Amino acid sequence: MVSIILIIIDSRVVVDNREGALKNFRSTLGTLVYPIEVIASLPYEITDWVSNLIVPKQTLSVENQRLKKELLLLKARLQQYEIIETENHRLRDLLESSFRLKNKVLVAEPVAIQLDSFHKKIVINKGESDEGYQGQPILDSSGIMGQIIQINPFSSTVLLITDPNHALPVQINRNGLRAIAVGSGEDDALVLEHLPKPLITDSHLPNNAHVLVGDLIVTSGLGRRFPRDYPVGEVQEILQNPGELSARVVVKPFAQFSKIREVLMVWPNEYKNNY
Amino acid sequence: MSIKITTNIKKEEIVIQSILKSNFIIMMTFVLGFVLSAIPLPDTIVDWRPCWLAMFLIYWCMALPERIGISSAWLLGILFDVQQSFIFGQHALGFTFLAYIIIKNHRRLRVYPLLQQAIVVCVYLLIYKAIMLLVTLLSGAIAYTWYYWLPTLTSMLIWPWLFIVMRDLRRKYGVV
Repeated sequence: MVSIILIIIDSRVVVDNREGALKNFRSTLGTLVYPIEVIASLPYEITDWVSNLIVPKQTLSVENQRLKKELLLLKARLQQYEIIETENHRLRDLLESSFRLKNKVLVAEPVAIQLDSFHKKIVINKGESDEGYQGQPILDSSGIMGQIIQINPFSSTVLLITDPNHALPVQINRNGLRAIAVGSGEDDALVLEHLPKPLITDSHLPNNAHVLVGDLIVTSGLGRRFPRDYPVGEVQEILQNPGELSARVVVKPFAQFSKIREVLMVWPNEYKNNY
Repeated sequence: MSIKITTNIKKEEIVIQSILKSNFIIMMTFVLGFVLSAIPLPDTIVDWRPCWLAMFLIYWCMALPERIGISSAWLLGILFDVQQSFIFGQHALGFTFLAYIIIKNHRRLRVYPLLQQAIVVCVYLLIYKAIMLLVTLLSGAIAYTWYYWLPTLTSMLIWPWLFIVMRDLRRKYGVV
């Protein structure tokens, strides 16, 4: 009976997506089971440590070379980016509209804990003690990854955007068409919902509200949970069902869900003046 | 007279010690269950992971129904929900169901041959997994495939070995 009441309370939290009354209780119990997580991840950590220990020198030097090249390329690109950013700030100042400040970012690592494989969730090794909070966006180096749904003092659980319970407000970078990207339960697909009906998928028509294969999908920042204009993925295929107005638009996320090594916790910037 | 009292006290001490020891053993098996259900597995076999914690719970409910009952099952479920970040109370409900049905039938289960026991355990786990699926579907979505039911099959195959190992463990350390 008690468990049924708990289920009802907690599922209301999931549905309404707000911090429930059980949050503190949960995080206390989460600290209690934290040692178990440490024990469970030990074998993986040990093999990781050993394999790091016995890497031949040549592999390291090759990797070093590659990383140096990559760093050079990225630095070159960053120079351009910084010029563009200052220009953007100046223009926005002229227009007296809001501009974005820089994001605070922290690197976290997933704990080697496997959760139920029918839910797309991971556990990371940073929590409340690192100023994380519930609902915080999580990225990897190439795209949006998910958000924190349960925060404990030393670890937190991340709901990935590929989970069927996750919906992400997005827009198409080319024309600003807004949609919701809902997880499909598979690692390499999101489904766009709330697109206009009928959906135009032909670039020859004079309508800029169309979706094409290969379109870049970015976060729209609506919902105020995720920062704006972060890459999510690209449109992989559009399945038009004859006889129906709507189409199933499948997006391939940029984030690498199959081999997660490091993730970024982001503190989204405040807008200078909300309009 | 005084000798009698001291022996009584000693007896009590021994009883308390053995209770503490058996509590420790039972807790350790549950910790092992937690670890086994969280340890990372390769993608190819991750769907085959047996319901370890539920199996340990079934064993103890069967062997010591007066020690491990519905309340301990509920507590275990709550901890499991937190650790695996399920909906709060979901596994508490499932484990309570398992504990109830096992304690109801523990006399019958004990005398079954191992194979029959495994089949009965498989059926109970199927019902338990069905309850879990129902709760998940009522409160949200799940990436459901028929693989969802695979753990009950592997649990059934592992049950006889687990039962023998646990029985030997229980006898060796005199868990009562």
